[in-house]
Amino acid sequence: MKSVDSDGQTLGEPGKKKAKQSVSIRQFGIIAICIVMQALVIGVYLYSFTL
Amino acid sequence: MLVPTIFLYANAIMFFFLGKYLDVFPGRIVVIVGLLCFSLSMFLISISSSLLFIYLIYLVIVPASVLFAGPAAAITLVSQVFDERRGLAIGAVGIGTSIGGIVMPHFAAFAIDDWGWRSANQALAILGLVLIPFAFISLGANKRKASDEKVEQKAELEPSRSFFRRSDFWLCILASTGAYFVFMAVQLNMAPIALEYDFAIEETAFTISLFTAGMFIGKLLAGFLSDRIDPRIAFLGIGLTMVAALFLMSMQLGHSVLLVAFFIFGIGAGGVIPIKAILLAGLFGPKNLGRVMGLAAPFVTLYSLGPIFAAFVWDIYQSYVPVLYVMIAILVLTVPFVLRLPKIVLAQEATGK
Repeated sequence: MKSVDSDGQTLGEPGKKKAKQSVSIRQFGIIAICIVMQALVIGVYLYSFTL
Repeated sequence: MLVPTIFLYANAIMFFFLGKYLDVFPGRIVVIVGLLCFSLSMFLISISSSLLFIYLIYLVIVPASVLFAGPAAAITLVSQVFDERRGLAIGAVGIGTSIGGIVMPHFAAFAIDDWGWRSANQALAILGLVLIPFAFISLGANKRKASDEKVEQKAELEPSRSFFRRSDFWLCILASTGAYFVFMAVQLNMAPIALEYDFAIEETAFTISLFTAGMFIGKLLAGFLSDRIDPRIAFLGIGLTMVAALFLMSMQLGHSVLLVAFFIFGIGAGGVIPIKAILLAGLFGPKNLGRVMGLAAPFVTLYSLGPIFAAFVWDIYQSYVPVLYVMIAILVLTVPFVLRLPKIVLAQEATGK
C-alpha cells in the first residue's frame, strides 16, 4: 500500500513534487511578464492615438 | 478615426507576414525582440524632428513591437505552455492590455507634463529595456503538451495557403470580426451614447470605468468557461451578453440602467478577445496559433471600421438607438458562423480526465 502526503503525492517522490511546483512557478512567471509587457507596449500604443 | 485605422492595418500587414515567427522562435527571443523594438521606437521618436519620421516609426517599428511584445505574442506563448487551463491563461494575460489602457495614459501624461515629451519617450524606452532581463528569466524553453499533438500533426503539414481553403478558418474570422466590429463601434461611442442620455461630461468617465471593470471580468470568465464547456457555446454566451447589454441601452430606461448595460457590455466585449484565440488554438493547434492569427489579421482588422460605420448610421438617424439595433443585428448574424464551426476537443477530453 502506498503512503500519500496531504497533497496526494506519493511519499518517497520529492523530486516529482518539486518539479510540479517549479512548473507552476514558471507558468506564473510567464503570465506575469506577459501582463506587464502588454501593459507597457499596448498602453503606450493606445495612448499615442489620443495625442 | 482614419489615422488609427491606418496604423491598425500596418500592424495587421506585419502580423500577416511575420506571425509565423511567433510559432517558430522561442518565446524568450520573440519577446526580447519585441521589447527592443519598443525601446528603439520610443528612443527614435524622442530624437525625431519631423512628424513624417514619427509616422514612419509608427508604420514600421511600432507594429513590430506590438506583434512581438503585445497580445499576439502573449497569447501564443501561454497557449503553447498551458494545456488544461489554457483558456483561463489566455484570459488572464489579456488583462495586461486593460491594465496598460488604465495605467499608461496617466504615467505618460505625468511624464510629458513634468519632463517634456522627448524625455518621457526616453523614460518609456528605458522601461522597455528594464523588462528584458525579467523576460529572459521568466521565459524559458517552452514545452508543449501531448494533448495538442493530434490536432497539430495534421495542421503542421499544411502550408500557410491551405488555411485559406479551410472553411473553419473563414467561419472563425467571420464570427470574431462581427463581434469585434460591434465591440469597437460601441467602445469608441460610449461617451456620445452617455451624453445622449443627458449624462454630464465628467460622468461619462464613470461609464468607461464600469466598462473596463466589466472587461476584466469578461476576459477571465470567457477563459474559465472555455476550459469547461465547448468554446463555441462560450462564444454564443458572449454574443448573447453583448446583445442583452445593447438592448438595455436602446430601451433608454435611465442613468442607472445605462450604467448596468455598459458593465454587462464590458463583460461580453472582454470575452471576445480571448475567445477568438481559444477557438483558433483549438481548431489549428497552439503550435500554429501565431501563423493562423497572422493570416487572419488583415480580415479581422475590418473591425476598425466599426466606429466609422456607427457614426455613418448616427448621421442618418441622429440617434444612437438605430445604431444599437444595427449592432444587435450584426451580432445575430454571427450566430450561424459559430454554429457551423467544428466541435473543439477540450484538453480534459483529449487527456481522458
